Amino acid sequence: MPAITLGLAEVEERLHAIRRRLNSSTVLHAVFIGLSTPVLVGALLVVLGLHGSAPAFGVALWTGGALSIGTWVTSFMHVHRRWLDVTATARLADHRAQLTDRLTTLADLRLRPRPARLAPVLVAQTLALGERWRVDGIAPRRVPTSVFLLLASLLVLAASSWLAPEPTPASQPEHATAAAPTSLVATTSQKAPPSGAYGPTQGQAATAAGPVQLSEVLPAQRDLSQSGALTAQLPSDKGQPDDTPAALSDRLQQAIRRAFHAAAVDQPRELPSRSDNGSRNPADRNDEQRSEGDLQRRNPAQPGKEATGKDSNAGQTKRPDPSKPGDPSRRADADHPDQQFDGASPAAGDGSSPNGLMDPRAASSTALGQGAPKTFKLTITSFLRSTEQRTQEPRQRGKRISSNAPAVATASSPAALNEQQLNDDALRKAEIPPEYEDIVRRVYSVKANQ
Amino acid sequence: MSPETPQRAVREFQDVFQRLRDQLHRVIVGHRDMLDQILVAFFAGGHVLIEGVPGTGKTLIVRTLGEALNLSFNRVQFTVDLMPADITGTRMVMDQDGRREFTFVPGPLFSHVLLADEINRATPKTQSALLEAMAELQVTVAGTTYRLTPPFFVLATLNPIEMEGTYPLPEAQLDRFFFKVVLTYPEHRDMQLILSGTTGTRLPVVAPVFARDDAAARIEELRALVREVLVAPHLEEYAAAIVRATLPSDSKFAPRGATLLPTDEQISRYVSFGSSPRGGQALLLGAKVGALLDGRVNVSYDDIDAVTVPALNHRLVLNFAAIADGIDSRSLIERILHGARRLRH
Repeated sequence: MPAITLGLAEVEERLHAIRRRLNSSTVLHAVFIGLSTPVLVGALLVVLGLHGSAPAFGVALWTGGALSIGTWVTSFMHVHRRWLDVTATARLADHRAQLTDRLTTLADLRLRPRPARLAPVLVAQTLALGERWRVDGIAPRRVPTSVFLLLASLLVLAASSWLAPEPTPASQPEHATAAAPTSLVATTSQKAPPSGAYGPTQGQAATAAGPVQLSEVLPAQRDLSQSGALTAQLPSDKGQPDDTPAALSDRLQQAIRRAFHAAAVDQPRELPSRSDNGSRNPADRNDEQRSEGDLQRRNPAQPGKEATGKDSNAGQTKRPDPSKPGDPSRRADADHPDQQFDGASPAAGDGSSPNGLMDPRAASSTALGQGAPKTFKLTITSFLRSTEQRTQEPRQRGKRISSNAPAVATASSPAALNEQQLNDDALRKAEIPPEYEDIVRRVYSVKANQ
Repeated sequence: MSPETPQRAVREFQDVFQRLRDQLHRVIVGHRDMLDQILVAFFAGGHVLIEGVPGTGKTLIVRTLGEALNLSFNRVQFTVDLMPADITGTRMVMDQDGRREFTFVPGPLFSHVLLADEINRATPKTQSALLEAMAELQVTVAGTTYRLTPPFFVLATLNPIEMEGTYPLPEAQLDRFFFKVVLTYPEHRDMQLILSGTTGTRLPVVAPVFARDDAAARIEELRALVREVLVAPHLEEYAAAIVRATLPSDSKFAPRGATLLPTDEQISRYVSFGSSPRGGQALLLGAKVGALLDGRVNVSYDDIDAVTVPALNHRLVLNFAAIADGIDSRSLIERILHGARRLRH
């Protein structure tokens, strides 16, 4: 093979290596830029979803979407414009290595049908200057600086989650609403008027989308309505879902709030009266993390049972088997005994039953009427502390759900825990939040006064 | 092909050029850049128009170059009564073997190096007699065409003063010149050297670079080497863009297509006619010589830029507005070059 061919092949190979590296850098840069914008927009949406009004969130949602699409289009155009072929790579290498257009001329030589007489000289000169245009020298292997933009945007996104309101007593109704089991949230959002810090926003959301949006967001709730248990309460479920941009925006905002508030409330709180040196039964933490998922799994079976008033198989099949202490479902059910109750209970929020305390809105509204604090914190496991009180309440089996009664929160517990469950260390060691005790005392003192 | 042979040719070119430069500098003091431009034009196969005030060594440069090249050299002093036949040659009745017949007697054009001194003093008719010889290396007399022996190199001088009784060169004539070199008065130090070197008893002697027998052949080889220098397409595009930028936008001869460089406002204002494609040829050929002098076999942007002013400044025909505003073509070309830098990378 002639020397010029070998030399040209070497030059060409090195040019291709430079080209690959430069093009990949361009693509990485575009990808980082293209990812940064949606992440930043996401952070903005989280902040607005938690603190902003619905119109502002809607505007931000669509503007951010358009901005993200625009960024991607711009990034694509940037890549298209900066994409280098061999000739352009040669020009760039010529410029960076100060090769006085030798590489460009060589790149053009490849396309000529007849080799030029001086081509071997050019090849020899170019290869002699090879140290000047090493691949690492022309196109160093480095991550584009735009990666810092992406990292910064990810940090902003992470920081935006810190802006979620702390579950302070003043804001507990919101948190409780958001953190409560899905069915509770869906039910109470229809029956109880919006209150607390979410008042205007939630009210607008409810006006715009109504119960339909909740049932769409929450599949379990939709199943409830389809089974007929909540037909009277969710009339909109029979219609078509509202897919207007405003409804989509509202649904997304509520989903953000639910997600962040659920996470905030489910965090184990430090209790001042803890006597176990801060240690906590891991089972409780696991149960809390599982609680929402478990409830959503069980909800579809419950309404049918309540609607007919005679079929208790569904509820019974969910009960834990006492002979299997390690049964995970048993522990989960112990955390949420209200999910196993048959029949209906008095309307939530009337204060007549401790079961009504499971509905934080109802409890809040009751306490509100008495000038009590508007908020409280209710964790899933803390409910177990009221097991003894619940068992003393008269059962109300077979009672149909009235249009005024929440579907799930009205469930009573005929035999929430058996002996083995009551002796379970995890349950016995469960802490009762002081706020919960205060609420219970207030509610029952009001009841006694009446 | 082994790269040694062309590499040796490149080195020989550099060597010849340097020796010529040295010989010229033995006689000519100063004017280094101008001498280099003259040599570049010579090896590129062009002709040079030297403009300068009297007494700056124009004639000396041409004569020295002819002696250094060891080529045939003729000088024609252009005057107002000079006729075309005086430079091209004419048919004369000659008595040969008792028979009288017309025989062509070559004029001073038939040499390798021709000095056309004060070319603007001759009538346009005589000036035009040079056109065919400069462009096509041939002379037609009485219907018969006679070929000139290459290399043929015309060095014309132009006196910018004493304009009375002169005939400015027509644009077509100017376009035939590869470069226009402007000789200025020497610097103080150079003036002192000129005085000391030319008023003594020992005058500098020029040693020929080539042997007389093979001088023409070797020069032709070197000229052929110049044409083999490689030019990348984007550099040809760059040169074309520069030439195109010299055309005023409102000229009826300007092309209507898109241009790489926007037309400069001053070009449209002060230029009546821009450069012809010959200007582009001069750019690239001059750049090729520059590349060889730098030891390269490919043209670069800097090579083109280095020859742009001498290659184009006599091809821009300025209007009265430019004369009134004191604008010269050199400043306009430098503006074009400044704008063309964005095309580089």
